[in-house]
Amino acid sequence: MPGLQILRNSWLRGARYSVRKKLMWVVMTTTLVALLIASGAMVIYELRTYHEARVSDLVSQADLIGRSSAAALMFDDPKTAQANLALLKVAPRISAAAIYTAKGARFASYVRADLADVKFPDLPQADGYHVEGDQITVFQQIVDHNEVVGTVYLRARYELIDRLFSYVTILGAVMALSLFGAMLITAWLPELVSRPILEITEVARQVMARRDFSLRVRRTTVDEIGYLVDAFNDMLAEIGRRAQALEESNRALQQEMAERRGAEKALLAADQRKDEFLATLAHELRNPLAPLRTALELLQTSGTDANTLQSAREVMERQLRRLVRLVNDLLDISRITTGKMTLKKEPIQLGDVVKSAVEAARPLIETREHRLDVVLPPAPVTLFADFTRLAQVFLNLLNNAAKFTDNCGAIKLTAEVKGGDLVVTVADTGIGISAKMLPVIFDMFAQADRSLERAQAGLGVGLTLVKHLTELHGGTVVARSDGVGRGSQFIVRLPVIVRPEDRAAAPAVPGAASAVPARRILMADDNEDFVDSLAMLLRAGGHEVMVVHDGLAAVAAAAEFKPDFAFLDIGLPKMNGYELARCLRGAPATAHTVLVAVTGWGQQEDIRRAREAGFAIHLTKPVEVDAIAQILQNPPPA
Amino acid sequence: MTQAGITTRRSSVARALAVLGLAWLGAWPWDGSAQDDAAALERRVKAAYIFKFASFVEWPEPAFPQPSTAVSIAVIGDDELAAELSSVTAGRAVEGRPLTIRKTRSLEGVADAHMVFVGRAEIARLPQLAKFARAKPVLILTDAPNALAQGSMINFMLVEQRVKFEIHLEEAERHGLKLSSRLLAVAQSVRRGSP
Repeated sequence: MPGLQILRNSWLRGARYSVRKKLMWVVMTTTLVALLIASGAMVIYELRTYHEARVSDLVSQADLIGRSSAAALMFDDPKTAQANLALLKVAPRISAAAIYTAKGARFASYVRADLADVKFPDLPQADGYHVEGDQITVFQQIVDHNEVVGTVYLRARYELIDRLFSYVTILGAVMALSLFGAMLITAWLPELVSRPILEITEVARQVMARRDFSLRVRRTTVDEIGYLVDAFNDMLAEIGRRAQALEESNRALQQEMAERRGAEKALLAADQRKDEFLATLAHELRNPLAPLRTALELLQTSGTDANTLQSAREVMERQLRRLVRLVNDLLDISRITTGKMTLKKEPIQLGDVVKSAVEAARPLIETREHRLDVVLPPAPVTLFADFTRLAQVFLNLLNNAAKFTDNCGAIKLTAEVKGGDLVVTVADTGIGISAKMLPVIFDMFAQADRSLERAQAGLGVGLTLVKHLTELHGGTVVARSDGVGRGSQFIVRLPVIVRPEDRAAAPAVPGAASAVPARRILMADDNEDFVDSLAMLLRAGGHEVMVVHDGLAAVAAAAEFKPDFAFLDIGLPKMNGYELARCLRGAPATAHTVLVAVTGWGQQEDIRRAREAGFAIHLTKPVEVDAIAQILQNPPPA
Repeated sequence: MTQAGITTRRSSVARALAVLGLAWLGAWPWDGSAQDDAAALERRVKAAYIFKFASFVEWPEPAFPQPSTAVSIAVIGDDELAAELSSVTAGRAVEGRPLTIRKTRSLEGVADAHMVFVGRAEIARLPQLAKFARAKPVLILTDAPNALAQGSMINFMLVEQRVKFEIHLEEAERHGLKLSSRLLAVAQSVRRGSP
């Protein structure tokens, strides 16, 4: 048993033998054991059968001889007995035979022809057989009529050993053939069993080596190995899916981290720009104050000559305009960044817009002694746009060009229609833009050169406004420069519409204040400086103006004053603008008064509420005198 | 083998040799006192043979009315043989039948016998016996030369100092007797009927 244990442990379970070898051993061993058992059983059975057949054969032969020789014995006829025995020559296995009388004397005998000296037993023995080596002897009594008349003696070749030898030879041959057949089968078995397994092994090895989970094992059978192949393939697919998912999430994570880092950097940059912007803003806001104060002191000083007073007023006006522009820009930027900017789009003429922008930019251009060329398309171009905002775009570009070009430079504004687009190019011979700055030139608070900027005035929001306003008009703006010191080009593209009816309906050039008839105007605003100054301007225009600073006062004043126009702030103390409007609209004295809302809020919702309250017009602060003049000249139908 | 050789009396030496040969058979107990008498020995052999013939012959049914009917053997012209036969068959049976031996001189004495031995002394009466026993199931035995021609069925003879016999099968069959082939096999000669 220990031997078997060792065999089991070290051999069949041995990892160092391939499946193929194990299979071969199993088949060979099984075959050999089966053959040995079958052969052994067969040999034993055959030999036993042979032995029994041989004995019974000899006994019956002895019996036959005895019967046929009984009479010869009884009547003392050895010749007949001899003749009977002589018949045995047809049975060549019998080598010798004899008949003994009842007294025990040899009566007749037979020896096979090829044998010479044969020794017969002296006396007969009892019935039975006796095997000695390769000889078998049989004694058989002859009985006739219940009387023993003699004994037959037979000696024959007992070929058990020969038989055994031939059987072993034959079985050996059969065994060899069977083992050969088994070997052939084991050579063929791998096709059935180990090859699919080897394929799996090979693919598994490749998968580990190449990390390629897309590999698959070919399924060739539908047995357990087939299931194994399927399961293996499914497993590979699952692993592949998981590995891919892991890689993807890794990549996504990395990307997200990169984005976050970028965003952080951008935030830091934005923060820094905001700080810089605040510094700039303070600077810009403070700059006009000193000349303003100086001019004011001049005005307050009595005895100042008329020329000096005139110069002081000009200084004040200029500085004030600069302040207003700054604040307007800030408000615009604020509106744009909070999404509150709305456009009043209408059909307008390109020429008018350009003219307005050029006029506004002319003071700076002239101060800098630049040469300005304006080239417009030969035919009039109609745009569907907000006149003021579009003019602002071109003005900013012109101011920008004037600012960033050294004195006595050249600025050129070219407008042309290309395809369905209007292309307006503002080119200068100025300091240009470095390649690094080009992509961020339109970003808020971006400044090409800090040190230079100090010399120039500006908040750095002009180009940002240009970009946003252009985009609000459905257009684009790009900056080009061949480099620092080589000038810049700003190219604005806008969609064009050219419709005859639009051109016919184009409004007349605004601002002809001289033709405005005298009106009765009520102004309600708690910003006393703003409303008083505005009232002064309107009075100067020949209008009759009443100013109040809260809602209730406005109601009382209106009842008595019966104004043609009422400019009402929405955020009034005591009674807000909406209530006031309803009140005035309801009062008989003011039922037909044109109500104008003046407010810092320009959203659609605000405009709608104003209309509901009874306002005919909605103005957004800061209010230009021109806007008021236009309303006074062309009041909307009641 | 000459007729004269058979018919003439043998020398005592020859007889002694025959006795020696008979001793080989061992068919009966050996008696030392008979050694010097070859004739007595020959007689004994013949008696034994006659007894054994009974078991090789098949009689027709009517010959034995009952299973216990004895086999009847009549001896004419050889009283010594008759005596010998009586001693041989004493207490023995053939297929369950006892044997009865009787000496007779008349033909009437053989009327119901199954076997009749005619000695040389009365051989002259053989034809008469044959005529008398015609068509009867009787086995006629003799020990005289040329006896077969006169109606004997088994005739003893000496061949090379051995007691042998010849068989007239046709004659036996004519009497309704069937002789075993084994008996025929050991006979010196068998005369068969010519068809």
